[in-house]
Amino acid sequence: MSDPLALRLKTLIVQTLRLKDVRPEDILDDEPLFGTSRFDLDSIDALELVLRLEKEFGIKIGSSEESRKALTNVATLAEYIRHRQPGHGD
Amino acid sequence: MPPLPVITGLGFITSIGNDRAAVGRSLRELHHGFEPCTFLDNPALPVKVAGTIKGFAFPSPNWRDWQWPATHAIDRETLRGLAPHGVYAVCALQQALAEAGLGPDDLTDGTTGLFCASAGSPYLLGQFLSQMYASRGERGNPMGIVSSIAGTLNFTLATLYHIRGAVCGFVSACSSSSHALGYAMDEIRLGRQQRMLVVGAEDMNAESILPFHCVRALSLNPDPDTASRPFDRRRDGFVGTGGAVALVVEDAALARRRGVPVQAELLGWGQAGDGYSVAISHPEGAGLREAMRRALADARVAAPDIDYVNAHATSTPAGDRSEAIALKAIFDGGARPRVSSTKALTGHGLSLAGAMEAGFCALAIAEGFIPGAAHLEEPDPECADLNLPRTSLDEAPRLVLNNSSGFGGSNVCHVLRRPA
Repeated sequence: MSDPLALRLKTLIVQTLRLKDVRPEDILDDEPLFGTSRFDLDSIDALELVLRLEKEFGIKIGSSEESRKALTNVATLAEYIRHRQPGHGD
Repeated sequence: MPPLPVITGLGFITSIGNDRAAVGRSLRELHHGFEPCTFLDNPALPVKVAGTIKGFAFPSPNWRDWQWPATHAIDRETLRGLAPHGVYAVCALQQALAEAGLGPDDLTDGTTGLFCASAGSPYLLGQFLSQMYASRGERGNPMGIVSSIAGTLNFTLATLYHIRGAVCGFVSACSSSSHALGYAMDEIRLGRQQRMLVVGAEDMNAESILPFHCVRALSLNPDPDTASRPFDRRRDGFVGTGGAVALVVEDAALARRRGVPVQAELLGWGQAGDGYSVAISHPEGAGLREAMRRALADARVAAPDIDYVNAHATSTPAGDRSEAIALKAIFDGGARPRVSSTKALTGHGLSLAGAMEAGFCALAIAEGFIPGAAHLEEPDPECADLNLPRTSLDEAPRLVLNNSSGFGGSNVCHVLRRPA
């Protein structure tokens, strides 16, 4: 069963970075988002995405290392956000 | 003899055309580039007309939403560092380089420099600062600063073309790109560079134009056919525009060796300040008069030999009047060169104006015509003694003077000559 947060993130990625010819459901949870020819995204795109994610989820993504790990793929990003959203008990 | 700088390439993204052929046609046939505009979705705003740039769209600050003519290719690496005027500039520079017969590999050995002029992008800077305020300084668009501040043109174009010669930006308001061209001439004359790319550009949107409404400098005439009418008795302010013009300037000897046609020679330039007011021209055009005198002296040209003057005249009551007085002081021995302000057709391009009009002067020289004083019905009495042709003339000017003035009374003039 697909994760609603993962689908929301995929939609956000497609919309924020205006990915052409990519539908949210085409993005696999575990495929790399940056540094490959599939989406042709780099560190500047990552910074723009961080800006949008922080606004959307009311979170702060700290250091470059932290955001690099979080943005590895949709699954790592969903996990990162789940642990930082208000009300999370961890 | 020091090297002679010449223009070998011209590129235009302007309200009156997006290539040399269209611009030449508009100048000859006096077709203006104005359209009705509603700025900031405010129909109550009395500023109703602008010199719009056709074929481009910037519906949001996000570069991914921008559109430009399919005749020009811009890669995403470049695009995301650009402001709207940077997009215009890339397109204009592509045209100028093509006309000069230059490819990317011809620009990287350090003998080519790049001088640019724009006021930056108030539109993108505003967006960027809003993000910064909202996050209390913790977050902002990573490309926000390089795309928005004055200097964005030189950052991005020098990177795009791997320019390793002199790279600099000029900020002197409406004489900015005239300064860029003048100092580019000096780089060549001093033997520091063999070739200079000169680019002027402005955004053309509410953020770049409406601040001039706050100083009551803009026309409130809602009719696109008459809002910009330099030297006319009923002029009431300028009409704003934007776009980009690129000039390839090189040592005449290099142009000859390369076998490329010379559009116009750049004989000399001069500048002088008014030392008078931050926003208004000296009432008798003192600085502009001195700038013209210095340009003529630098070019070793006598005033009566000038065939055509492309005036700065923006269609403001005070500015046109002071320029008319300065012109009459310089051409006082019975010489009456043809005078027109092409801002009657384009609107006032602010930082872009000087390079744009130098480009028009080069076109007039290369194609053998003199642009007419469009929209002039009844000259202001102070301007009536000027030789203001109402239509464009099939006269090939040999020597042309190009005037520009900016805030703070910063005046710059160039002398251009038809190649022998």
